[in-house]
Amino acid sequence: MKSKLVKLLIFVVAGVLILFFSNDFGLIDVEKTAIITAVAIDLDGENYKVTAQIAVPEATDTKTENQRAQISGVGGTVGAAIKNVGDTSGWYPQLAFCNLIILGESLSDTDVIFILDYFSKTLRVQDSALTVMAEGSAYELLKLSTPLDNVSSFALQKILLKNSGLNRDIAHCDVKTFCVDYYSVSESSFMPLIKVKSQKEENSKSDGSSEGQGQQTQSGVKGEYIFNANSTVLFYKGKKVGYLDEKQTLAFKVLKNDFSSSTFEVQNVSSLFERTHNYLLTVIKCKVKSYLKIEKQIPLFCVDVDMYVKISDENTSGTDLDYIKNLPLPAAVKEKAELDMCENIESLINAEKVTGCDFLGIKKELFRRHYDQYSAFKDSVISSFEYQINVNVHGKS
Amino acid sequence: MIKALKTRQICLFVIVFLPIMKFFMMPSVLAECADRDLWISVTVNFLIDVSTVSFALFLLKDENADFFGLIEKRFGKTVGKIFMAAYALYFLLKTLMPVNEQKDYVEYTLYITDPHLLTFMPVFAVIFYLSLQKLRVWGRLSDGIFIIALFGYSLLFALSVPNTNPEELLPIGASGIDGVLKGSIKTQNWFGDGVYFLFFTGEYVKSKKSELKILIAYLISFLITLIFVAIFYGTFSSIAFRQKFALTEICKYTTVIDNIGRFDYFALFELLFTAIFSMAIPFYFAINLLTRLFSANKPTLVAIIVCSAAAAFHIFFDQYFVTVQNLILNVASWYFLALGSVLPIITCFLLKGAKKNEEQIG
Repeated sequence: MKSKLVKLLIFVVAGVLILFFSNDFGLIDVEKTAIITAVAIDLDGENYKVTAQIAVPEATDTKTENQRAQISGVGGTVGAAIKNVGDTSGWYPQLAFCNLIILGESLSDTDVIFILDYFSKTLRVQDSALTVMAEGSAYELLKLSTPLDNVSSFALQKILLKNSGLNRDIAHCDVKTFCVDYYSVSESSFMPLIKVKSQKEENSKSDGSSEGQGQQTQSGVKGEYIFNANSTVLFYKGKKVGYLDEKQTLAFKVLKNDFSSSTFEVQNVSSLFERTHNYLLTVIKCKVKSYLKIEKQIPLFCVDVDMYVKISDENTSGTDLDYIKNLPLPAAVKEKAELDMCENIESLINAEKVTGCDFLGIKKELFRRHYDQYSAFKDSVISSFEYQINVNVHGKS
Repeated sequence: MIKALKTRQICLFVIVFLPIMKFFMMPSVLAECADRDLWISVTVNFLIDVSTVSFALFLLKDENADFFGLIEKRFGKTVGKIFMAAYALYFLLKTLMPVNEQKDYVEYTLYITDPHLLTFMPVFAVIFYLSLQKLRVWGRLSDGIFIIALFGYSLLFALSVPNTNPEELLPIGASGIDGVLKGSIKTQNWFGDGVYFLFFTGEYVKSKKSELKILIAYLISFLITLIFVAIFYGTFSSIAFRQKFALTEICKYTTVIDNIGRFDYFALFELLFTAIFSMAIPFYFAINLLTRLFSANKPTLVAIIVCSAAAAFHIFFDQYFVTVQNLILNVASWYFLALGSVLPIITCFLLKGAKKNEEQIG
């Protein structure tokens, strides 16, 4: 009997020790845990205003519940503001599932690295979270609901991270990539710019009226707003220095070698005796080779693009069945596609020269491939480099 | 005399247990000093280690005792005791960083909230148990854990390679010789792998080309480390110096992890399991040497004292470990280099010379 008691005691002690050493005594009540799915950060005077979108067990997809799940905190640092969220709500802010960080436009004149470094350095926050900049207030953006999803952060993630087979027309960026670029020799980074468009505005535009402006702040109306992330904000030393428009962003994705399986629209292709046509080309494969060479003491940025395409659609008569086959690519379409892509890339390169933001990685190339000449060219390369663009579009002849 | 180990077991010991210790803090320390040339520092350290092993392999080829036994036999007990004391201190110092690294790793990456300081301390019970085992048990452990470690290394590399940009390692040599050597010296705490072989000389069954097999095992161990640091820098580049827990971070940027979830933790837990044994290795050899130094009949008391002292040290210095770390990386590194490579090579030559003299006299 005594030995049985001793054995029982040993088991009880062992059980308690396991609980202790597995930190079960430190377990947090799940109902007091706020699982943050996204954070929006704005400048509030000299402080940061952090709004956390929280997935709470009671939350539903309805408008009112969605609005309730946003809690803001203010602090001199991002960490302090997040702590303030916990203090005011009584929830323990759990950032492990935070996949989206939205920066408000008010931050564009400050060095945003002070914000993003927090997510990069803290172990309990994912530095693979996507970063975007809102056109306007990040807080307002987070409050909106779209037809895609009533939870704005989920809707944004759907358009930011597209699966292969869909258009690769968004220059998405995560915290780690932003920080790596910021601390690189280029000191240049980028992130998508999120524009909010009212569906009414879109519809009225198509109807030819100009109604719809100024309605963006009426947040929370189910399905009234849609997001556009096809433009890109450029940063140099952490401060906003310019934008890439939709065409430039598309060319940027081409140069980043992330354009295969995407589509490319060629408009106003004119041919003899016929009216102009528009074409949609599917990019089967896109091979890009971009490199920097120094010729006669002049840095020369060379871009060779080989796009293998097939016609997916054109505004002429023909059935969908025709496009299953790889139709011959008319010479006029090929030429127009090459010209358009060339123009887009040229415009992209000019954006680099004008803004001084080395999003193309010219300075990195100089450092990596021409280290012996790096000190001679590092200060002037962005403004002085010349370029040579060679685009070849291949299709069935 | 029955030998404790087989050549295969030594090879597996080297491949399984030695690289994993270098996966925690070492890459960030290297990146801080050598930046993108961190792989050159690793190569330098490998060359130093492989020279130690080569000299021990070929100069002590026909011996029937381990390095310390040979020193006692050839140079007398006093010299032997001095060597044992010096190397016991060497191994005790070598235990500090791995324990702290893994403690921090477990506390910061596996728990939601900060766990209690004592949470990690049961590991000393495991270390205590492992320290009392015979050398042949370590041989069997190497056999047994090999598959686990192999799966861990393979999954880790497979998941992290797609997100690696090897161009980040360019230009080669930009950090200069100073940076490379600084990185090499500062990381001596994680190297000096040749020293372990000093305990195996005369203790293993020599098979055909066993010397070559052991050297290949060291080469594989080096390649695993080299691939890891290359992936590490290719993933984090300009922010590599502040990635103290690269093991957790390195896989998570892969698309498949985004879609499926953190199944890379399978690899991480397997490697963490392997790392517990790796962490116990310097304890094992320190306790082995202290037992011999004090001619203790049973090593249990020595193991209790060492493990308790180590646990107390880590509890007491928990908040001040940065100072200890600086001391280990900046000052003790020279001691690690001297005893991990320079002294063994010189001693191997002296032992060989002494053996020749003995033979001539005999």
